[in-house]
Amino acid sequence: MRKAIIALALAAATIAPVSAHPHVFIDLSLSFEFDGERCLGFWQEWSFDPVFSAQIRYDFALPDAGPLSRAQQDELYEGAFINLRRYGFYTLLRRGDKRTSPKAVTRFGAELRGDRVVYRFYLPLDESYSGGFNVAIFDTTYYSAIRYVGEPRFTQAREGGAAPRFAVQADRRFPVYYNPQAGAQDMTTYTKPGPGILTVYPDEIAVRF
Amino acid sequence: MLGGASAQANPFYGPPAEAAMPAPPAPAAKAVPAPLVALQLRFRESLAEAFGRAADTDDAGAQARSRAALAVLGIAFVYGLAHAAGPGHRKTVVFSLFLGAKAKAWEPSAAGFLSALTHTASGGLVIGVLSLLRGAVAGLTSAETALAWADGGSLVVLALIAAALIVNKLRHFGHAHDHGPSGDGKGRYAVVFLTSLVPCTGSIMVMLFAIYLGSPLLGVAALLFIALGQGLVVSAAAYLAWFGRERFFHAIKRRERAVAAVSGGLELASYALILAFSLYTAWPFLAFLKELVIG
Repeated sequence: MRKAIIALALAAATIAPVSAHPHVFIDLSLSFEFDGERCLGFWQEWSFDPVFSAQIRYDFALPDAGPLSRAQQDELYEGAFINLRRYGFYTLLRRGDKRTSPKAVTRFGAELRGDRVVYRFYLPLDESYSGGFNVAIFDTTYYSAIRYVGEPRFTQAREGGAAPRFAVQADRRFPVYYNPQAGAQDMTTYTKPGPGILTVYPDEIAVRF
Repeated sequence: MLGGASAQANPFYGPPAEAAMPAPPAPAAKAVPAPLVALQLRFRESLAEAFGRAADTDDAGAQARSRAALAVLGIAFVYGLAHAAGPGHRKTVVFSLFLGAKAKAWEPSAAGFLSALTHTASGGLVIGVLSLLRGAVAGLTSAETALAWADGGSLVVLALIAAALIVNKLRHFGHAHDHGPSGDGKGRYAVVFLTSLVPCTGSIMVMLFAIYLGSPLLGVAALLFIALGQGLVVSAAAYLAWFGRERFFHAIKRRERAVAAVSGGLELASYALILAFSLYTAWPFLAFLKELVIG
């Protein structure tokens, strides 16, 4: 009977809910802009994996190489970018224990780099972020897997201005709660666990002065 | 992420045209371990590079393209192995079937490869049919909406079959010499086929990518090699159950009544396992159907 129990246990072990695999892989780099000790905002550069890049090229009839026209970039903005506002552009900003996502970004641009499509856009920050903050670029729907590439960069507009310090870490005191079954229109920000709500600890970039 | 009402919408492209129609929810999105994500990305990059070289007419020539095509097939095979080793892929179904029923030595591999081929071919078929319907290459969004329907539908079918097998078994339970399964023979393969009709997401991705690059035939060949890799893994799951069952019954073969009782119990347990697995996995789909019908 022990063997039968083992066999049934093995059967049970093979049961696992089907995971939604990432469909898009993004290599991310960040570049922060400072004026003295105030962070004016930061650039995000997203380099898509070759498969999703091929899909974008195909769907938007992009050339094999060369620069994209303003019209082509605008078409990409409307057709393959701006809907991400529903997902807060995958951007999670945190000051203290308060976390928010931006409703808009600016200065969108796109280019072809080898077999990759690359997006670049800017997130302006108001003065309230001057005391330092944390930022995570993370897709809680797991449609996109995002990985940080290289160290965060920065520019300092004020001569002699202090250089910021960056640290990448997952702070387990500040989890992100999300509903894996939530719809695209559901922008609910969950502040505590609950039935069906999952917890994740994304890697954050701590920006300090 | 095929969000709520519009189930599997590509978040970049926004709700698709067909989002006006309700679509079933996607399987719950959960964290994928980082090493697995890195492996998937590595696969994707390797495949893209090989596909690109195979499709590159400006490259060094036919020999280089042939080598690249072989690389595509090799990568597809390895992907099939790795992909099937993850959750899903009906390993539970074939495991339970061969745990619960007596079978010949070749049958686990037959069932494993039937499942893998059906699962993989469905992915290619979805792209083909949707492309014909839309007059253009079907995007991932449409394919995934079809996948969500197929996934939910096949799980409901699986639950119904498991329930029918349980009822049938209970009706005959206790009969002496009832070692044979209630769902063996052709019925077993029908279960495997029906429940493997869910299109393979990896196959969809590979086929779409092949079409984007203008290499649909190489895409079809890659699907066959993905099926080969998956078939090995699913067959292994089936053999795990088959060997376990054979060894167990060999150990107690002198005790005929015990054999009959344990055999019947195991079979019933395996069907119950399939039923529980199907209902658990199909629950969001059933909730969606309820909302669709009742509101």
